[in-house]
Amino acid sequence: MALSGEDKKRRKFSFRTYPSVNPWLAFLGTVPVLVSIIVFGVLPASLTIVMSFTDYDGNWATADFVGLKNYFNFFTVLKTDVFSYLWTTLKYALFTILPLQILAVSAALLVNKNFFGRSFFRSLFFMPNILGSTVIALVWKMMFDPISGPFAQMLASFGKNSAFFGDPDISLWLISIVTLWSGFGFHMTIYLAGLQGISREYYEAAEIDGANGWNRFVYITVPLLRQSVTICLWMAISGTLGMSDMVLLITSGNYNTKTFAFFLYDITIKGSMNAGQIATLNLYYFVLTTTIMLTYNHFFRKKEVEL
Amino acid sequence: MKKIVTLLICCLTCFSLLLTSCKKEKNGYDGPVTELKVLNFRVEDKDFYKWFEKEFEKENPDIDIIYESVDTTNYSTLLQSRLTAGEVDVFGSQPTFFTSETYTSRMEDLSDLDIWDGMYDFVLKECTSGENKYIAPTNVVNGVVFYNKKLFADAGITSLPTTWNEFVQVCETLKTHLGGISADKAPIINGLLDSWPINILVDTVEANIVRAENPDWFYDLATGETDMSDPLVTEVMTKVKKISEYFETGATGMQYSLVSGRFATGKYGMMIDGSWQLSQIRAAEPDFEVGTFILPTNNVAAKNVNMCYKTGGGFSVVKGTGNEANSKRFIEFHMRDDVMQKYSDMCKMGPVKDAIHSTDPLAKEFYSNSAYTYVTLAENSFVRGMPGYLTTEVVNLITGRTSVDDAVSNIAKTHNNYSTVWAAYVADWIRLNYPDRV
Amino acid sequence: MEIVKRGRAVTKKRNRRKMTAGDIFSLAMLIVFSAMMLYPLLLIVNIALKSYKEFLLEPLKIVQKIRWENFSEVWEDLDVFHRVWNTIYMAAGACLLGAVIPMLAAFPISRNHFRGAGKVYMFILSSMFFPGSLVASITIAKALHLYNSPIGMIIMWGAGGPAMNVFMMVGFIKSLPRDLDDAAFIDGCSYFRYIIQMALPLLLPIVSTIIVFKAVGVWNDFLSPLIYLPNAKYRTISTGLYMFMGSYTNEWPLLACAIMIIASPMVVLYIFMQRYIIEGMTAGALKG
Repeated sequence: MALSGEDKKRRKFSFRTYPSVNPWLAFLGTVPVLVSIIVFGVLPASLTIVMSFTDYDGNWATADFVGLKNYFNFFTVLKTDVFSYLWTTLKYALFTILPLQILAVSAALLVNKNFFGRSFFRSLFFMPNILGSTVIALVWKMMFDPISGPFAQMLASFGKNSAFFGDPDISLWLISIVTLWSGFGFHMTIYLAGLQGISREYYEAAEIDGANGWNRFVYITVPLLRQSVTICLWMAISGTLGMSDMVLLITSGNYNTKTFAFFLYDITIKGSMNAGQIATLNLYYFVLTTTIMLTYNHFFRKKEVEL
Repeated sequence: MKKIVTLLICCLTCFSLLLTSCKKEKNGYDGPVTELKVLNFRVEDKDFYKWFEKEFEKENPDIDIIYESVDTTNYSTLLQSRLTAGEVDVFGSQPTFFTSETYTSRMEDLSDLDIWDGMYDFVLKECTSGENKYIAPTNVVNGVVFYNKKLFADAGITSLPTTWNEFVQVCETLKTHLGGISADKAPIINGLLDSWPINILVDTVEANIVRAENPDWFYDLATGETDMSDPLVTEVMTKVKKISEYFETGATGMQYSLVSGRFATGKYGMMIDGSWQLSQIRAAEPDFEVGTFILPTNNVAAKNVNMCYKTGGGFSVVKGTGNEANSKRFIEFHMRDDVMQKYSDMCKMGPVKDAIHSTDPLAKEFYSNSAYTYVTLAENSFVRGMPGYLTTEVVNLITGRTSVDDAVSNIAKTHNNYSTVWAAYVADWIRLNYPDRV
Repeated sequence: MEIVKRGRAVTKKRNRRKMTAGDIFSLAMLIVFSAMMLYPLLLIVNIALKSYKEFLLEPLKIVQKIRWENFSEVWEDLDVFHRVWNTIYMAAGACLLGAVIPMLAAFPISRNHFRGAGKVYMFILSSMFFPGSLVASITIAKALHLYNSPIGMIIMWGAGGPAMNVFMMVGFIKSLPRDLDDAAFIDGCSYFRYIIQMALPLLLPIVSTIIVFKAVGVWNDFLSPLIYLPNAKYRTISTGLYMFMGSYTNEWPLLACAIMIIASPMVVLYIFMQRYIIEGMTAGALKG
């Protein structure tokens, strides 16, 4: 029971909204989340921002305030490197996001039908998530080995061969393929959930009206899957923009595969720049990715079909 | 179903708890045991260090060695995080570590230890920084050519090449004999997926080009008399590019760890690599007939006598762990002549002092060949490998992304950017290697 | 349930007629997909059973002579049980934190049990968009003594990224009827006891989704223990494989063996649990 309007006007400020609930206890419940956000969200963020204006390098005693120098460096000293890594990330994201959805939707459609053994296939497609990135990287390093790999054997029968991961022209696409192989199962599960939420009656009505399979897909399935598409695209975009573990495990950033996220990890671990500079780069990338995500949000949330 | 799963998990956890508690075996020693954490990059020496652990713990039951080795690609990352956390007492180090403050600030002075007697001069120099010694060297490595004796004989190559043109001719002969180059047969095998292995090739090529013309070239580089745009550097890069044309297809995509084993299958003519690969070749195929010759990169036969070598690695003690006394015991035990001899026998690496003799015939040829003039490997002559810029440029050159001239000018540019960073180290290097010119 | 039953009835009818072109196409696609998924795994199994020489000489043929010693050689160095145990208890801790902490906050917020709940909610949601960097995280972890401690790792994993979970839960709780908790509070039920005993069971779909996401995240995450847990005692299975990979790169059959040993328990566990996992995710995704 909420307090009545008169009661609200009478009191100057009342923390309590329900007479039977102690508001302090309620607030206490939110405290753990607030603490974690402050410790793991606000603190690192503020520290990053503070660091970006200094040349801190492990020792606060020797750190100097350098103003916007780190920010300018992005466009001057580091320009060639940074822009090439951004471009690599863009190429990778574009090549991965859409095929990922297509694979996931196709797999979800295939597995949606009720047939014997469908759960076997469902779990088979989800399997890579269980294996872990280390295993996946090792498996694919062997798959694309110029001698022991099946692709090398296939090419050899035509008399050709390739360096695969060692070829700067195709290395990034190969990493994309690895991501597709390992990632589509996860997205498929979300699409599956979405598909199962579509009432059968729509299809049956359409079938009666004479719509064929393809039309049923385009006019019923696609619109009603909008919510799943939104979720999956969100995950795909943020995942590809932040991908660094596959690059680390397979090529260590060589052969034209350095994505920006890997670059950030690399300079942090190797310490090849001072921490202040690294913080600035992190902030730049954060602004970029957040803008992309918010733009995405703006366009896609609006178009969601309300059922 | 759920019950079975929870039962399974409970069994697993109990089992694992049992296992972990079972591991603490003692050999009759009751006193307190301190852990000694060792991190190394020589994964190939695994077996030796298993033996080492047993022997050391027999003589020093109050120390429990926890030895871990990781491959070169990931070693520096891991080492840095361990150093920061204070989770390592002894770590495998190389002279190139002296350029990085992350490492030098954590190295303990080892000059007082009784291990330096009879050690080769160049090794002592490479382990010194300032006035003190910080690396206890365990091995010496060379940049060498391994060649497949049987394949050479089958291809009709009767004499080993002594000039650059003869070497190219040998490669061509092999190529014709093999019927072309593919992934599983080629005159030369290399595995560059991890990029860094290209460095040893460049350094081996350099030894008889740059140093043959000017033995003190690196001194000139250090004092600024010359820089990386020297035509000698261009010659090195041109010849590296030429050699890379004889690599197997897909060389840049092959993992380095697979190269030694694949070479030992006998399908490739040569392997231009570090002498550290010898133990791997022997392990993969003990009967494989492999020989060596100096890579004749000079056009003049008489000048192809340089064999480049360096202190391959050693151990450094971490300063400030409180465990320095035990770490030093580790070092002293390792540097004992009998232990070092065992190391040389098992791992086939170069000896650091006269008292150690290589037993493997090929190792003898590498490390104690009177026909060779030994020069320090470029990497240790004047460090330029630390930021890895040379590696990237050479790899780009090999994959055809840049021309030789572009590669050289990029290298020169980056080198000049870094010279100030290394100024202190360079001064130290000049003082140690050219004391009369200081 | 009804839809599934109807589906089965319709399928039964369909099974009587001939397979359409569409069905054949679907079957073909299924086979293609399955082959794509299975081939790389079978490749690894094939390598794991070979001796090093056989692997070098005949890399692609099916193994002729199985070398069982590979398993025994690898077992000791991998320290499987220890690592798996580390991963399990850390994942369990992280999942517990990751489910309970958001729940304790989501409940008061969605029920608006204190003034200003809406503002707190906005703050929590905004945290999804805070910048961060690895440098800063490492510095803070060290300052708070969370570095090199398994408890620290559990906290970092569990308390990280609560915003999304809170968001999902708030939406879900709003669909639960209020009468139950109003009645309970009037009867004098303690606040937190109510959440744990009554609300939690109702929240099971969301909680299981969160648990699955967290558990998969912890399992896959080899970078965090590499950075924050340098001590070998605390190593998780993914990081263990990563380190193992470093020291065994020379002998691929042993490495493949290690992969099999590490992947098998998870695969077996997954096959048992997959129905619950996927159902939980489905329910969570539907309602969230």
